Amino acid sequence: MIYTADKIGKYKGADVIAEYMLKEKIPYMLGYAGHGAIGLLDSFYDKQDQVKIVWPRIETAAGFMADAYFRITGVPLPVYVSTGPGPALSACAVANAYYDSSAFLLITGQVTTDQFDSGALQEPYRHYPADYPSVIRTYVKHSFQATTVNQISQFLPKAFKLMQTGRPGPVHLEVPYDIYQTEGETVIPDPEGWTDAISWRTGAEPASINAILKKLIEAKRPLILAGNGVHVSGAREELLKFAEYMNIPVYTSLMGKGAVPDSHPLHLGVCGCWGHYPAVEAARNADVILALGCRFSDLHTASWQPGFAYNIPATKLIQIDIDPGEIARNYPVDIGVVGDIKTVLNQLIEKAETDGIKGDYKTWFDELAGYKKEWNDFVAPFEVSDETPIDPRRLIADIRKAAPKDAIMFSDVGNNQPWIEQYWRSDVPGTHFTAGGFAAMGFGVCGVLGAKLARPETTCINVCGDGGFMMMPHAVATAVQYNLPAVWVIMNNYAIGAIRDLQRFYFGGRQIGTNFETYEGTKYYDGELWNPDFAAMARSMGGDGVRVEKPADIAPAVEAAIKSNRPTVIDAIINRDTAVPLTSTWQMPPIPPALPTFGQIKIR
Amino acid sequence: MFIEESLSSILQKSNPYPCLALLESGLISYKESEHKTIPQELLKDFACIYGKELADDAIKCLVNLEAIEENEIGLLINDEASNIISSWLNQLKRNLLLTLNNNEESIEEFVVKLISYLKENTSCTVSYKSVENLDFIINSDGKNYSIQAALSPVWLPAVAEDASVQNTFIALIGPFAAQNWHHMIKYYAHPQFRNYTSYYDPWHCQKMNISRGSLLTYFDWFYRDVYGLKFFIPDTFSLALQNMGLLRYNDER
Ligand SMILES: Cc1ncc(C[n+]2csc(CCOP(=O)(O)OP(=O)(O)O)c2C)c(N)n1
Repeated sequence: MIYTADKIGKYKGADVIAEYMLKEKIPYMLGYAGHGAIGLLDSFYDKQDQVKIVWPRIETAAGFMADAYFRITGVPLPVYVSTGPGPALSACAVANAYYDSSAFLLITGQVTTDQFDSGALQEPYRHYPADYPSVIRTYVKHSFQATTVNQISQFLPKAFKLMQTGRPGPVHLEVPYDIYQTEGETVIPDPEGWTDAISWRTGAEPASINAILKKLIEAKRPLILAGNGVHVSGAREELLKFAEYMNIPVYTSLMGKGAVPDSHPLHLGVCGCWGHYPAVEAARNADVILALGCRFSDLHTASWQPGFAYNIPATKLIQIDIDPGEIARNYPVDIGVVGDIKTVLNQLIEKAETDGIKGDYKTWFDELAGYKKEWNDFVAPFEVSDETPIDPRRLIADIRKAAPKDAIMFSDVGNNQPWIEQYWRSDVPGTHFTAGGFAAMGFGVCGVLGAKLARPETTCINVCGDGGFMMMPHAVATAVQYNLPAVWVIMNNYAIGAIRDLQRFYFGGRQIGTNFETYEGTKYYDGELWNPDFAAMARSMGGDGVRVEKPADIAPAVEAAIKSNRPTVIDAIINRDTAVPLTSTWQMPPIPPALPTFGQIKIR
Repeated sequence: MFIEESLSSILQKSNPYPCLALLESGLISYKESEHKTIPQELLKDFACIYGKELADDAIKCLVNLEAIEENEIGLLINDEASNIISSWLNQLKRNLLLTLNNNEESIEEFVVKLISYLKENTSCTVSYKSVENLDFIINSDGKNYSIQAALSPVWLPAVAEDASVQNTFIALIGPFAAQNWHHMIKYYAHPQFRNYTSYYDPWHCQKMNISRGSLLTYFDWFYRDVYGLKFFIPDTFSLALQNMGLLRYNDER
């Protein structure tokens, strides 16, 4: 027994959770009730001053909000759901957090311990009693099922430790609802004795630090790649310091976007299927890449086809990641380091400064300047395009102009995501968020509310598609309920655009099941494009709503939305036939890869 | 009777390349094909690339010079002349001039620089199959590469199958873009060809390559680092690959 006797008291299972959340100084608990959750909620009844209960209109939304909250604050929130459908609906959000190294504590109810294997209402029982842990296990760092009060005390600090140390991820705690109500002797553990006492930010061995610096100094065309690990590790300052000291250009993955200020002279942009040309061109020409917390996913690497985005192993890869599983997963490494990005960067800075090591990469910079110019020349006219329907680039450029510098941007999933990837610029690092790994639609629509919970004073904007918005339109009602004045800009193209584009470009233009249209005849293509009136929907939920069809109306609409400090939906009708420029590629085997639409084609 | 000096008359022609291509093909076929004869398919490509008239002219000319002879199976290089023709062609090849970023140099210098670049920048090992033929065998990461300078693109299919059997990537360097090399694109439908061969034309800054020989990345880097130039992929090539279903164009271009 790990606890000291003098702290033992009698608590109901649900009280243990509530008391522990106070000790963790958790400000919000999100979720959605059912008969499997009310026992838990009851213990928070008298604690609502300290832990506010926020419940959006579906479990998935609660998970997305908690996920977003963690990305911004590093604080994992509890998300309560009932049994059966509630846990099932939350699974998507759990996975979304897991893939992007974000975290929250999913607390599911379960049938009572004496009903295990009875098939009582909503019990997952047909393979194994009370078996939700088997459902969720692929999407969590760990799944706990408590069958005594004391186990809750034991599991909670372990759960918080797991979520916050090493590579973050969601954790699951399941409590049969009799255990919420049963009293047991236990001790409410102290977080200080757990997570706070653990030193997990491991560094690299000195020999590796020397080897990395040597490789970078010898390189003629070095790059630093910032992945999501830079954000998660809180290493943005260290990254900039090291890059500036060494004078090495930096590019990012989609998830790493915003690791350095966009206008920083060393910054090249994002590399990926819809990345920035300077970053993609640099990546395939680099001789050494120092990758920090990056998974080298298919969308980032042109599905690993040489020549499009990368030429590894010709390019030497140095990969630093806290998760050894991600090192050399897809590309062989020259040097691999299992370590915390922040710590390793600090080691590199210290060693470089002590030894007076600095790089000189003049030719490289000349080349990069050329790539940058080519790309900027290409982009500039679209950002001021007066065309109707609105060019998505103009839409984003005008949102940018109207929004404060430090505005937080959530894209959703679909074309809106790469549009934001390519055209949203911010000089305030750590203000761009998106679901890159599991890529669940609706994350941005709900996540923006989690952001607003975390940063009430900051403008929080979600750019989403009409598809993604309609998965979670109730987010507006939640915003009104809790006074979370977020701004949603819908890129309305009457389609699940990203998938329609795959049909346009990979399936010979045969569009089926991807346009929002009335279904009048016998074929998918003989109806008319149709969507609900999103602005009116927003108003019916107590928010503001406006439809924008002309480019000139974008900026005033965004300004008004921000100024009103009311939840606002801007329904922007965009050109549905403009595809996001491909600077690299993505493949869905066996269909051959598409060629880049910008930049000299690189096939090899 | 074949007289070595008569070969120089080829160079007086307004377009000597059909003759040179035929001689090169003849030498390759002499080594590679069953009866030492130039395969009919190769001759068809030859006629397509240079046009029937020039192709027929070249055959006539070389038969007259007795550099090439015809037997019941087909055309083949004159047995006695083969060594002489081979060294004459090599000499010619090595002296071909390139202008790269305002600097003139021979293809021999170019290839030698390329090989030393590869040696410097990779852990490959180089063995020389034939230095005077500018034909190098390189081993890198367990894969073999045959890097050769050539005068004509036409004969590559004749060696592609062997290359695939021997798991050797062939990189041909030569003035191909001016010789209708697009005609050869149809061979990319054959996995042996597309997986194991590549063309580089430093005269025109172009390449055709979709093999996965990772050493070939260094060709691009060499071109970039030493000359500040880039090998581009001709549009006809990528379009053709799309037609074969090997790549897809996004019509947003
Ligand atoms: C929950 C969920 N369902 C389906 C998908 C597959 N998917 C990826 S992008 C996309 C289209 C999104 O359409 P929309 O929200 O209208 O955005 P657009 O592409 O038009 O910008 C779909 C259906 C997904 N990622 N998530």
